[in-house]
Amino acid sequence: MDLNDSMFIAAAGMKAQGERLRVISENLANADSVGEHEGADPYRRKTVSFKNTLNKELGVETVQVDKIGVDRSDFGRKYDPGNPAADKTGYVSMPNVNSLVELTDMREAERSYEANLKTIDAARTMLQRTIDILKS
Amino acid sequence: MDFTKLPLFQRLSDRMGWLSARQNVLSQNVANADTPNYTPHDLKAESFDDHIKKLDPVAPELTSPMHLQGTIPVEKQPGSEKSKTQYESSPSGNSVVLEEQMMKVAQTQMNYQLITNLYSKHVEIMKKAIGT
Repeated sequence: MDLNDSMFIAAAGMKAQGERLRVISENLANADSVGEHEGADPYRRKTVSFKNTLNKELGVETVQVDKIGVDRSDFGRKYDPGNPAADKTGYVSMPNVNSLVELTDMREAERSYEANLKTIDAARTMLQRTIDILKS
Repeated sequence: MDFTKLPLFQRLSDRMGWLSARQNVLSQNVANADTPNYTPHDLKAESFDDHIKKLDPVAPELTSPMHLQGTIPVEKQPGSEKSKTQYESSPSGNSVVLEEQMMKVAQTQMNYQLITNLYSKHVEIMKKAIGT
């Protein structure tokens, strides 16, 4: 059934966006995670990308998370001599997480999630209309 | 008498089939709203000429329950094509605009509602004719 397929596709989209939100919250939660000792790397920001794959059972192309990579950009530095992770000069490497970027990303994921939800709703209403023909 | 054999009802269910196929393509676009290098698809608008000239797509015959059904991806189905006019595309090469897709979803839903209403109206007329 076509409309069920379209609900399935949207559900796959929601799953992918949900996973993206999970990565974003991981980044946000670790925005201040520095290394344990001097010279250790702090938390590295994770990135997520999507790809579309053919679902052979239904013959439709759905979306899924391609891979969760890491952001290779430079770490920030902060002067904090009391920190156990501080180097000789008193600087600590901070994670390369920018809360503003993460929040923007989160808003985008939220919006895509809502859009997927809306298509499910539309498909459901269409199915309901078809069933309503039987009632008349 | 078979309802589906009547030209009018047949036409209506064809239209419903087309609309649900479109809904399918649109949800694929929305689901891939953040996939790099993805171009949105849409179905070609049905015209009367196309309907007359159209050849039915041939589906493989299933002679055993072990056979798999033919899998034609939605965007390769007859009538589906990559959208030529695009509003914008993001740096990752994705050109799905959620607002545009949502508008199309709403349009499809409204058309579907129209068709189902027409369908039940015609069923009503039939009922009147046979006097129930």
